[in-house]
Amino acid sequence: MRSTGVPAREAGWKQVPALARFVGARMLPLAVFLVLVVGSSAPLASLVLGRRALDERARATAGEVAGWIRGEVQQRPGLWRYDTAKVVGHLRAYAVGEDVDTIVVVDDRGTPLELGGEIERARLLAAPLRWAAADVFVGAERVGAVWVAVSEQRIRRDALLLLLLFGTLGVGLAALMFGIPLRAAGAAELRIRDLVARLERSRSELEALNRDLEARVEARSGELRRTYERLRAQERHLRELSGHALALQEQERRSIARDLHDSVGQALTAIRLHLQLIGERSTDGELARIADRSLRLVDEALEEIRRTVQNLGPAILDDVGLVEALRRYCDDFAERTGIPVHHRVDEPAEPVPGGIESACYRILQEALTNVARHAAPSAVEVRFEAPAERIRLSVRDDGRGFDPRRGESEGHGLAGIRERVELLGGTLSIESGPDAGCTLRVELPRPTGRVPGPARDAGAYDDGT
Amino acid sequence: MPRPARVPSPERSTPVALWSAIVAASLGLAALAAWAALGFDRGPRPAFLDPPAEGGRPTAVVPKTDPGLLELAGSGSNLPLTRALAEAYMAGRPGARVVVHESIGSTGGVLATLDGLVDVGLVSRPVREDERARGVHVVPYARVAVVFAAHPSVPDTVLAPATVLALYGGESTAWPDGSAVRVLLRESGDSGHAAVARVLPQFTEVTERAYREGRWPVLYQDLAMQQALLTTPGALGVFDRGAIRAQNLPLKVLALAGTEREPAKDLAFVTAGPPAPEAARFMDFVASPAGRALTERLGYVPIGSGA
Repeated sequence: MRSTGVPAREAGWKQVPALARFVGARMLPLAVFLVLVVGSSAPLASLVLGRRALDERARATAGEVAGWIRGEVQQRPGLWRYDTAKVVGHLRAYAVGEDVDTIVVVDDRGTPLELGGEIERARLLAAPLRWAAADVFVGAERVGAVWVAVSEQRIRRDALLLLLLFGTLGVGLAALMFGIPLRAAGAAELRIRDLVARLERSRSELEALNRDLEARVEARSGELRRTYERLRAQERHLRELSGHALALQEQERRSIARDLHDSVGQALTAIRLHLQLIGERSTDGELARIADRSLRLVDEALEEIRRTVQNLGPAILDDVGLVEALRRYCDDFAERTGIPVHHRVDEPAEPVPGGIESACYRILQEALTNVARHAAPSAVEVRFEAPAERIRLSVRDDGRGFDPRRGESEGHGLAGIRERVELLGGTLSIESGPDAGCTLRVELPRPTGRVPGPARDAGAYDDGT
Repeated sequence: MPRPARVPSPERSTPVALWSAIVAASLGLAALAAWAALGFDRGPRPAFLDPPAEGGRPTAVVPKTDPGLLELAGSGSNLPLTRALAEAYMAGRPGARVVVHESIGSTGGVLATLDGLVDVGLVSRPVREDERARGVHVVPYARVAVVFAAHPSVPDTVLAPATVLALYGGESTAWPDGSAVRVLLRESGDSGHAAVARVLPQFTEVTERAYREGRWPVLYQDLAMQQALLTTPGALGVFDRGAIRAQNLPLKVLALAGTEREPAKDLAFVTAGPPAPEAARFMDFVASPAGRALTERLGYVPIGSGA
């Protein structure tokens, strides 16, 4: 435990806030220096200037007395030395400033002309005196000199007084200089700490708010995700329903077509044969004409049935299957239009639902019809593949091409293809440009499961029968 | 758990450089303070403060070399009378040669006599015991009245003691006619001031204060006082009545009223031991009836052995 060995002063210092300690550690030497500078500058200046003044006073006094001595020497050569005592004595007592300690007149040998006895050598040596001298010349002859001693006692006393005053002032200023920043730093640190604490609290609150917000966003996102999934499922369900409806429709059309073909067509064919026999064997001309007219009416009806059957559903799908139907249609198209068709139709990995089969067949019909009408290509390439997940059909020509943004609106038959594809939940992409040919790609999803309701009961959507 | 990075603690980062700079500056300041306080620039020191050389201090005094010449020097108060006496002495004795030098003061006269530079010293104050102890022989020969002399323009003729103190103390600065008072002081210890102080003790205090305050000019010789009194309107100073009468000076003497006696001082000859024959002859003349008559005629009172 540090507290057991730490002196009380250090322990007290440790209680000072860190910023205040930091400031204090740097302000303390400056404060000490301030005390020294403020406390000593004025006394030192006073001493130096006072000494200069003393020196000047000593020189002036010496010069003044030397001038008087010169007059005495001129008046009384030889005896002048005996008259200096009273003048110098009076000057010492009254006529010089308080700092002048003594005036000593010496002859040309430097011997003091002390008429009252020996000079106080010991006192003069011990006293804090400053000396200045002025020579006494009569003509070119140096007859003596005047030495003036000034005492430093007064200026030392003044300097000590200034030291006391300015030392006190320096201590006060240093205390202010040291204390004010220290207190300010302490107060600032307390405020900073308070601010930091408030920031910490704000941050905690913000974090809590953030967590709550994230939770809300997560919940909302989950809700949206679930809604989206539900919508996706509904959309998928609707698509499958539409696909199923399309399959049912296709199945129904094919059924009707088959019925027309098998029953009505067979019956009409039989009727035609009978009418043909009636016309050939009848001797009655009128009957023969009626039979012939009936025969033409039957042919027209058969032709009408054939077109209806053709419109109701491509019977070839039922006859040869999707792959062969696509190949034959490509071959028939090439033969009919003279445009070479290179096709590659792969066997599906899994059986293709009947609705999608019809859609693929009709899309190919529509696409090649468009090619024949608008593209004027030199060749066409058809590609069909049906792996497990998707069914892809593409038709590419090297014809004149068109602007895809205007193609659907200008009646290129693309609107019907898109409608058919979207009903099955697929995608249609068209890549074309002027003189750049055209590539049409259709991608249809395979249904993911059985559709509840009527579609399940129909069962034809999956097996295509 | 990873150890956190060590952050330098503010309180541990002691400002060593700052302390070093402060200590260096403080030492410089202390050196400057010591230089200033101890006065290392005290300047030149006179050689006479050195211990005296073996055999004592050499003297610069050159003793007189003309044994036939009687030389006298000393107080300026003695000069007018002594010069008159010397002239009378030489007039009655062809071949006798007497020189009375300019004033060097009573103390100077004593010391010049002791140094052998003059034969006879002239003093206008009592000889001190230390001077007597050095073998000074004193021969009083006259007494002279000390008066307040003034420039002829001064209207007053009598001064009361209070007026004297007021004039010298600066309380009264104008004469009755409105002209300015210009007091002329002699130096401290002057025999004339001392004579006045003996009858008017407060005079010492007043003059001391005037010295300290530098209120009035100070003159160091009788001749300077005489010339200043003659040339300065409104001037007032202590002077010898005998000097005024002996020289017929046009100065106004203001009588000091209200004191028991008139200020006066005795004039004396001093010699280093018994006077030499020539000096003794001169002193004998001074003390003779002729000398005393001359002394009295010049305004002095003869004193001494012949009186």
